[in-house]
Amino acid sequence: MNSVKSNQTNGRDEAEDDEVVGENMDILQPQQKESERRQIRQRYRDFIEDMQKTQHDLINPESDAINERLREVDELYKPVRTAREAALDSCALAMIANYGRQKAQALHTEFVKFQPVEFAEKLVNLFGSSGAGDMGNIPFEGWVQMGENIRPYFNRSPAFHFMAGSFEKEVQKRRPTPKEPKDKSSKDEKDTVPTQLRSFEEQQKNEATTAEVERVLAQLQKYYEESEKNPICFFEFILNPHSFGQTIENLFYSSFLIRDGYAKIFIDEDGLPVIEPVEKPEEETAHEKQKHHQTVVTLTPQEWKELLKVYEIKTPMIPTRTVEPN
Amino acid sequence: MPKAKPRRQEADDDASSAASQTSFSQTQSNTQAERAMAGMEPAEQERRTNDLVQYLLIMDQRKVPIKKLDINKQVLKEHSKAFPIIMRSASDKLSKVSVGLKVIEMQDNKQKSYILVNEIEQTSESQHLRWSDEEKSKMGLVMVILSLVFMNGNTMKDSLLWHTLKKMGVDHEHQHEVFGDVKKLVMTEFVRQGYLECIKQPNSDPPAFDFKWGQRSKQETTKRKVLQFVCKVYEKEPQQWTSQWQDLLQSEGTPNGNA
Repeated sequence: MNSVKSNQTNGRDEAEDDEVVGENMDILQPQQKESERRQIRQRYRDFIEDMQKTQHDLINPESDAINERLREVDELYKPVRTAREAALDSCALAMIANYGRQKAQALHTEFVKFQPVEFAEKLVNLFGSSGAGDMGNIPFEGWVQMGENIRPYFNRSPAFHFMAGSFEKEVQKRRPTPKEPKDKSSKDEKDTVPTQLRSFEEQQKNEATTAEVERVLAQLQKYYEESEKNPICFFEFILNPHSFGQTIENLFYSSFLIRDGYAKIFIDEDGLPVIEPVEKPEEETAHEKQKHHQTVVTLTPQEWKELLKVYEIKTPMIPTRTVEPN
Repeated sequence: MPKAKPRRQEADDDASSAASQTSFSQTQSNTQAERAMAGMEPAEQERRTNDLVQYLLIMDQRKVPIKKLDINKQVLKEHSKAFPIIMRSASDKLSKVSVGLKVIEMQDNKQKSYILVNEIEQTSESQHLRWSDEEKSKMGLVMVILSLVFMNGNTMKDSLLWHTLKKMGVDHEHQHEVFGDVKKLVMTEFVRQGYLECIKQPNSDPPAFDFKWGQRSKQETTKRKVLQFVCKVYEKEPQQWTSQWQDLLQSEGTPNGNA
């Protein structure tokens, strides 16, 4: 409030200065500093906001606040030169007028004054249920009863009904037909593209694994031939001195060979595991029927290093695979 | 009398009639409607009139004012030029010949529409017109709101209305066991049916509204009847409400005081 008041005195001073120049000049010279105009607008906005806050005081018939407000806005108008500020002024004036109307409505001169809340309470007494828990409430029966009572007060035309009922309005279904194909086609497109891609990737992966398994089998068969069909030491076969990872991969690929019956692992006279390819499919199936073990093999980097030392492996039997950029 | 109104105002609707020739337009529209009637077989005229009577009765079920536009589209179709005459004869049929209903033209500048009002004065003894329970409860609420608005000086702010209704267990912010969405019922249904008028206050933010009597209310009931209801509730004499009593005397004194 204080700031508003000080602003007002400023405004008055400016107005007085302007008056020295001459009233005609004021009107003819709308040029006004932007900062000054902004200040005026700010004052108007503060004024309007303040009025909104104190609305109920303003419309109270007992108070004179609204006249005071009218005088204040008159003061505010003095430095106004351009339309934009004047628009705010009319906005404020319109508000005052509106409050004035409400104030006039709130003014009751009659002896018996109508109190809406009192009326509501009387209605609740008349039509509300007598139950103590139902305070301030009119139940359905109460409303029906009230309706029955006020029926004579309304010249309402009676509802027209067919004796045997009327046709129900058919609900028109228009939407689904044109929309569905659109949705479907868009869905299809969305669905097919990613699945194709995914399967493609998977295929490649599968193919990569299968190819590796085949390569490992080829190596195994090669060494088997070279060693004149003697079983090959399993560790010598899979160990890669340059890479622990590739060693594990070799272990992984050879496990496929065992699973699919292309090779077998057994313990030789020295108690060490050896591997040899299975030559004939018939033999392989018979063999598979005989014993089918599952073994979990662990190989830690430490064990890998130890094995390399023990077997003195310098070059891998399965050549190091070039790492694919992926 | 409303029957004369459609004929006079029909002229404004017709694009062919020159707006400036006000004195001339009446006869012109008359002849236009008459010409349209002349182009129809008497049996056809009769059929269209009966169709219109039936259409009005059926559309009245919803209590929403019946638009002239819809009447022309659904009933008269290619004979819409004959609207004033057919509407007049249909109104006559509803009023005198059959059921004692009065066709009232709504005072709406946007588009012409009509409501049906019972011409026969109702008494509490007349038991042959029944309302459904839903009708009763809704009309009860209408009566309460009309009473509040009238007693409050023919207008009531929405905030005060909600505040008062809340005292009766009708809260516009909650589902009501009888009325459901109270705000929608009052501000949309009652307003659309013409029982209430809901006017947005200028420069109000958040929007505030003033409620007034709608046109249907002015036709279906009177200030005197509403004051009688209030007096029953208060067990008082109407004259004790000085300003409201003056208001109703004034409205009854002038021929179109209800408006």
